[in-house]
Amino acid sequence: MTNIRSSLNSNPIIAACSFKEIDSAMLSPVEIILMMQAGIGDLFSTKCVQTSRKKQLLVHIDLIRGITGDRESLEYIKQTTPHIGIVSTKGTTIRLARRIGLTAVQRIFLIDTQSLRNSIESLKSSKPDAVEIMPGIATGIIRELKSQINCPLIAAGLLRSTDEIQAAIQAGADGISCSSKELWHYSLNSNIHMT
Amino acid sequence: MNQSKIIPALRKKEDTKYLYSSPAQKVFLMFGELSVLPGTVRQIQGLGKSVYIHTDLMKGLSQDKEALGYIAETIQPTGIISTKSHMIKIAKSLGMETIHHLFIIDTNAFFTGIERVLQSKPDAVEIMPGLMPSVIRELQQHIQVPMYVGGLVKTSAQVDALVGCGVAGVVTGQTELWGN
Repeated sequence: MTNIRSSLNSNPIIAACSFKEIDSAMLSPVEIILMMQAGIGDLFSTKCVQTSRKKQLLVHIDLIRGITGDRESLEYIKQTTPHIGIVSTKGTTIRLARRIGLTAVQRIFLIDTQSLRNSIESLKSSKPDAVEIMPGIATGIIRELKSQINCPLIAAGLLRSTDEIQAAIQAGADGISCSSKELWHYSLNSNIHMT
Repeated sequence: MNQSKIIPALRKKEDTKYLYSSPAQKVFLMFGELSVLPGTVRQIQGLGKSVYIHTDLMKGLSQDKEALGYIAETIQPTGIISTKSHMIKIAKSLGMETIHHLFIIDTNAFFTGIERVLQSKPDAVEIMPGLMPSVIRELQQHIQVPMYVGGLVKTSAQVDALVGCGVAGVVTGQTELWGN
């Protein structure tokens, strides 16, 4: 397992996918795969174990059917598939995962000023390995958050074109999570060095 | 800045004082407890403004027909705001104006949001967050009713960018933008 920041440095694109799409994601140049739709059986399948050895596999634990983000489930993940990292909106789940030694990404929603303030507070105590912000298309806020958050910042949600990806990167996003398969093959390293 | 499009989102009682000199015609009430709700609504109505109650955020009221019946008969706002389709449908049947509140955070929410609005048939929608003009423009091609947009809007430039998208109103809790 490599660290998220170094994976994002070599390729900022993250393939957000369902369990069924893991094969396509494996064939793409992304270094990080974020599995959003799956069941508990999928999570503990041989395919996920193998995937997690080749690429950084993150699972959105709030969205995996049949599992909760509590201590028991996180410890079981640590025992069976130690390379898998988790994503959650819950600060308590992130804190637990970090304590157990799992890579943990906290997802926050850019909804309004008040909820954003609460989210930033939550990050201070949960200390995730990275933060995923939604919707990533709100690039103005990415710029503002960049100065307040120390860990890598992943933009996700409604980013559907290469122009929008570029705009998010320029605003300070370290990673871009997208579900559109064509974008998994997009390489922006050359463009980044140019700017 | 286009002041006529500003809709104050009232988040705390103390901010009510900023409404007195604001030209805004509509106010979205984003906080409230059952005990003080009627008084707050009367106070704002006394300023000649229409009040829309965000029913998801009202403490002490449940999300059902009985609560809406009480709101319609006793509290009497112009309308309600809710993220819940069933609340929109009931409120409509009670003769209140309805604003369906949608959080558009990803592509999935974008399409399910459109689907839900087609079902609930509200008088208007409120979209959050506000700072994504390209998405708002695209959404307007799918949603025919007036669109209010809010969330994270802090500057007059952001207001103008949204007004430029043709939205019916920009909802903001920033009292400096209320036109005092």
